[in-house]
Amino acid sequence: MNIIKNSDFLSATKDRHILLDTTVFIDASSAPAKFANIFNELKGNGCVLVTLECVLTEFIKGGSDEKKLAEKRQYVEDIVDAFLPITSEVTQDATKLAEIYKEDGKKVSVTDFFLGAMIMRYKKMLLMTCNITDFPTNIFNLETFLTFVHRKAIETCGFYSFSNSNSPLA
Amino acid sequence: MICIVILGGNVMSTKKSTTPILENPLSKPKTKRIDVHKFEILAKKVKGYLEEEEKKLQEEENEHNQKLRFSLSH
Repeated sequence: MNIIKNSDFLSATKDRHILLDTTVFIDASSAPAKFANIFNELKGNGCVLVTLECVLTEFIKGGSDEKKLAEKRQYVEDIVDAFLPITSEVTQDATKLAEIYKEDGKKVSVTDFFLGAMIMRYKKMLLMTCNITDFPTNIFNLETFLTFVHRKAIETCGFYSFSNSNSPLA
Repeated sequence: MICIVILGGNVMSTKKSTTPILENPLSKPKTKRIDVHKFEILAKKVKGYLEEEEKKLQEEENEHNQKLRFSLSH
């Protein structure tokens, strides 16, 4: 697999907090060296890599024994610089976001609403996700992206901010 | 009579996390570079676990569907 960076990748992400979705941790395990280089490039660009505690829960669940659970946790901790807690404010924002999604939100996971709520509240934060269908561009701005070129497929990983025109917090 | 009690604990679960939890989400903790070689080794194991879990989930789902089909046909 090859990773192609969009031309504005470094300028769009400079000095931002990058909030990682569960899909990023899953995809990174398929091409670890390439992803590790991208993560290091972001860190060298002044970015802080963070994730939510509930994303960690989503990622480690299903591990069949203590060793596997601990290794899955360690894998996430090797990537991120910090975890962010879900505060009551974020929970309330997630509900507001579900109201903005309307019928588009029916199949969206609660974790995705929490992630969306974080970037709705913190404008300096970008959400990095390979699950691009659950973050529609009528609600979020696609700031930049990575393209993953596989032998027989092409995938995209987006970096999103919240569109101010939709903000119930303004 | 002598009674010997052995107290055990799980070393894995008591390992303290060094990754901070930020009270202020926009504060800047110290960033740490990833050791690519070490990361690759761990990621390979994790990929195996994820595939194993997916396979198990798929098998459970197939079994459930099979039972459902059987009960519907009888």
